[in-house]
Amino acid sequence: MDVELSADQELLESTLRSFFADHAGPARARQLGSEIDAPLVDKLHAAGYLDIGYDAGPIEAVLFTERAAEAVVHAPVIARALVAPLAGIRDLPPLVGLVGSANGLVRYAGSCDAYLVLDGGGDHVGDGVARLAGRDDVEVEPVRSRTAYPMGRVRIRRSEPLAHGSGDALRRAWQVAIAAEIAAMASAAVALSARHVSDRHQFDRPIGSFQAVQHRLARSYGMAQASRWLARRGAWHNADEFVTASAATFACLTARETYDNTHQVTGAIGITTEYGLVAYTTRLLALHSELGGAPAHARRVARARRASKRTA
Amino acid sequence: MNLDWTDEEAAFRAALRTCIALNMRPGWTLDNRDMPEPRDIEAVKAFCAALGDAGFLTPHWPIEFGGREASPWEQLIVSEETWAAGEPRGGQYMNTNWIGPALMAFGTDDQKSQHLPPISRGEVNWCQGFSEPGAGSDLASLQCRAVRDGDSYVVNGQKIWTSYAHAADWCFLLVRTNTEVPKREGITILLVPMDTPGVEVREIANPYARHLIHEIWFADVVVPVSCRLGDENRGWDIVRSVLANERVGIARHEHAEMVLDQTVADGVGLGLDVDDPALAETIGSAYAWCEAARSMNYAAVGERIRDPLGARPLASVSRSITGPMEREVEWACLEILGDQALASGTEADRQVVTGTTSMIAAGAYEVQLDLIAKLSLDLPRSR
Ligand SMILES: Cc1cc2nc3c(=O)[nH]c(=O)nc-3n(C[C@H](O)[C@H](O)[C@H](O)COP(=O)(O)OP(=O)(O)OC[C@H]3O[C@@H](n4cnc5c(N)ncnc54)[C@H](O)[C@@H]3O)c2cc1C
Repeated sequence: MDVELSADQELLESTLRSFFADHAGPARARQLGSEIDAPLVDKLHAAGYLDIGYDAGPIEAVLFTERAAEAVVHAPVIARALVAPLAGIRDLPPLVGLVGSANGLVRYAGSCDAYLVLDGGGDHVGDGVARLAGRDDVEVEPVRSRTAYPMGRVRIRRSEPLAHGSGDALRRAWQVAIAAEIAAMASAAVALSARHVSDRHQFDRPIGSFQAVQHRLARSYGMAQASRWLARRGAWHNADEFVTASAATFACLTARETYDNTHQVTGAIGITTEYGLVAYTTRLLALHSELGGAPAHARRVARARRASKRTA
Repeated sequence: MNLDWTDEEAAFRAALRTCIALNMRPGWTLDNRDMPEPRDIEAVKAFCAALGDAGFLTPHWPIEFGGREASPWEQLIVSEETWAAGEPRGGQYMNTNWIGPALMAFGTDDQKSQHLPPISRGEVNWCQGFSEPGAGSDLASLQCRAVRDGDSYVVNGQKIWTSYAHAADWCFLLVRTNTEVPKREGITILLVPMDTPGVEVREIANPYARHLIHEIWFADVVVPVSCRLGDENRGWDIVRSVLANERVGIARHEHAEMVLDQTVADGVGLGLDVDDPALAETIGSAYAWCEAARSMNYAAVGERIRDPLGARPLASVSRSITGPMEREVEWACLEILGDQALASGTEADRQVVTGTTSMIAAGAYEVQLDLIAKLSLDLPRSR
């Protein structure tokens, strides 16, 4: 066991940090609104980052996901960078939407080149096989939403079945991606809130010196850290749904805890567009709800454990 | 980063598991860990002796003290496997995790040769005499008094909540030796034989477990100066480094998952519908807490390897997940079995004890959150 990043992985992290500092960020995402960040996608594509999961490995792909999420990269790049490689799905265009169910909301629904469909998307319900649809194979109905992601419903008209078992593999990989994104965004929300409570004075002292405030942030910080490490383990052990669904479950609990705690300690300024906390928290809402949210992930954890005990 | 166990680690685990299965008293559970019966005390010593013989009790210790400098990962594997088995080492995990290392770092040559060999052979039980009625979370305010009298100290006072005190041969005792200085600067550590005249142990009644907690009374207890660990009045520094070791690598996640597995199996045996969606949600969520605690524990072990002498902020983060995990598992077990969980003897019933005490024993949860606020979030001081 070795939980340290290798020298190459550390270099990758720091390179990504400075790359995203130059080319992404919450303010840029806000300006883009319902548009995606096409210039950034081109740069990521040209630099080979979208192939990181195939070329480097699951940890590198999860590091990319963490850094992209905390930098609020405003485009659907995680499916190609992390989800598809973990699920063993190849030859995808850069922008891929993830469709979980027929009526579900899809992030960046209108801006994708292709769609990976879990099951229940279109007519192919529950056969355990993932499907791939092109841009011309779907109809997208934009949906207005409070979250900072452009959302829509995707109706699949035509799709290609992928390999046997691809449905389960896609779901597990998606669970990992949800966990990694939540962990990074929750950490970013806590860091922003920690700065706020250190600066903001009430009752002649920084509000961050009140233990009630400190403990809310400490609890979220701890859960976000645990989510991060569990997501990394999920990426590594991505064939094991007990781990991947645990990662998604715990991340959803973290999202909820962090949403509540960071808004509570930042008071009214926290809900403003300008302050920027909502860039993370409204995204946490969407991630928290994907694939059925914590209840569905948790049921999968229980099922996976029971199955492993029966076969053990 | 490589999140698989190496072949050596896997082989170590397999051999350890065999050794535990061969040497653990059949039917051992976490209830026995507190050693309520004399035969449990004997079982702990016999088990630890066997573990010591096979090289599994102190593998992480330096070679000169009988270890083989095994990695902290192997130390964690020992904890995972013993916890999964209901911790048949009783309180001796303390000996190997922090009492032995404290002696190595701060003991005299005589103290090392007196104490380390019996610890590594599993022959002695120790207890931790820290808390007092007036000194819990604020440990440094302890009052148990030791007054120098020639070549001895005379100890008077009380310790409380002490685990394993009734079974202990020795006490790692914190005393006050100077009342005139700031409270952290007047604390000394004494290594006290529990059969010294004037030492009295009383069990504290509670509805959870027999011999879970005790008081120790000290009445004119004479302790030779040669039993002092480190310098007089410098005990606090030692305690701080000792507690850092206490904090990491206790694999409660492994035990908690075993408890859930067993409770689900008990539910199935009773004909309960454990696949009911709402119940499955509760169960899955509790397992997810266990996996989160496992992940954070691994991260904290990594931090210990990387920065053994640093502030180690992830140790507090890890404990801030492990405590609530025990409670999540406790309530999940109660929901799985319903009233059946209250019948003595099930893992669900035992988990009520673990869940109740996990966020208090070995330092309150809030103190860990304070440490996160300070070490990880750099928030303004509250006091
Ligand atoms: C089963 C068990 C076994 C134990 N074994 C041992 C042992 O072997 N040896 C030993 O020395 N001790 C032992 N202890 C004692 C343990 O270390 C103490 O219980 C612990 O340090 C807390 O102290 P306290 O119980 O006096 O609680 P207090 O310090 O009175 O605190 C009570 C509660 O107040 C809150 N609180 C306290 N301080 C703060 C703060 N700064 N900020 C916010 N909230 C706060 C917390 O919620 C805390 O739980 C054991 C305890 C238990 C339950």
